[in-house]
Amino acid sequence: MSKRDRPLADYSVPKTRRLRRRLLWRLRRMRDAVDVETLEVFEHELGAFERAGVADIDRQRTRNVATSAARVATAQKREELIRSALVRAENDIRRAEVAAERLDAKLLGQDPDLHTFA
Amino acid sequence: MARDIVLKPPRIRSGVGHISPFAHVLVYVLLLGMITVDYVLLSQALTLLLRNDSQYGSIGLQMYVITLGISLAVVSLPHVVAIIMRRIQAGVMSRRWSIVAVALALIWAALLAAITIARIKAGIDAQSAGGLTGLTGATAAPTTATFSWSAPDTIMAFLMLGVLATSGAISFIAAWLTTRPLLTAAEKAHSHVERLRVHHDRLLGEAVAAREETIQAMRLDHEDAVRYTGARITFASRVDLLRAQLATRLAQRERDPESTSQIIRELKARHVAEPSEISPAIPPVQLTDRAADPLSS
Repeated sequence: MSKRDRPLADYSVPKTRRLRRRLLWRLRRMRDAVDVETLEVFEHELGAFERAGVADIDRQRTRNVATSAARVATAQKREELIRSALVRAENDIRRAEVAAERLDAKLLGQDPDLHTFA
Repeated sequence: MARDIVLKPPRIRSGVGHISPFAHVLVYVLLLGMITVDYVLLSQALTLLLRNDSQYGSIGLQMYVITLGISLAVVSLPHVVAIIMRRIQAGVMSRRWSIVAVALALIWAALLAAITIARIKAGIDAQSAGGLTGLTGATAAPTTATFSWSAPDTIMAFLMLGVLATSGAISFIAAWLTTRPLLTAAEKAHSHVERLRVHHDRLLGEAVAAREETIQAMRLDHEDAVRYTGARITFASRVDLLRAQLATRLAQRERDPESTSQIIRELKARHVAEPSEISPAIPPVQLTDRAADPLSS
């Protein structure tokens, strides 16, 4: 499988098991002393973890976006090349047809500048 | 692997019915080279032929002009004959011009014959005269020499004839090969158009393939965006699950669920007070609705 056909890398979602065990352990240890400040600390850790996880997923997304953007750019470049080549080929065909018609007219003796051919 | 006709297009010559300028120049270089060879040969022969006069320097310029003219004629007459024959063949000139062509060919043959005979005659004269009479004084008795096939001058004359005829034939062949008949040119023009059309059709096929490839790449990009959204949703649900478990454990631990819910309520109030919590980078609407979650603290 060439590099162009390879699918983009899959996403890995961060695991929450370790954080859960740590938070539950701390909660059990301070079972009587739970108050608003402790819960705020918990909330702070949770928020930090969530931000880190989102940033990780965003990083993977950014990498995949770069890859697929390069792929799309290559494909569109080739498309543009083919379009200009088509235009050029049509011009060539028109000119060649004109030349062939002129030669045919010379063969049939309808051309005024027949005698310039040697 | 097939040749990529977009990056390396096939070389299809334009300009049907004309030879390239490079080939044109090469033809004239060939003609000039043969004229030079003929000039060298003829200058030797004419010097031998006119040795008694040329040693006094009386006909120097005349001899140069004659030599150059004969060598030009030897090379250019077959060229002209070939061109006239081609034009008659293509119908450009009428058939009566073939008389001129035959006459020119006869002149060319007569010229070669005259030069050969003169060369042989010069050899015989030199042999009978016995050397340079003007320098040594005419003391030697004039012996009568006759024609013989094996005399060195005769052999040299025929060798020279061969070289001259070869140069004329080469110029004839060059003219014959570089002037194609009109019918061939028309056929080549038609085949050229045909090849260009085939190239055009293959380019159309390539355009379809490139279009498909672009669509494929864009679809891959879209699928990646979908998977990204899924990953975000999965992660948010995991964190929400963690929060829910923490809240459940907290409610189980506390004897008084009222106070726990009081704490939770207070946290929520603070939470609403400062809304700059986590601003998701990419679409916040598609992810889980954080405000509707009752256990968000």
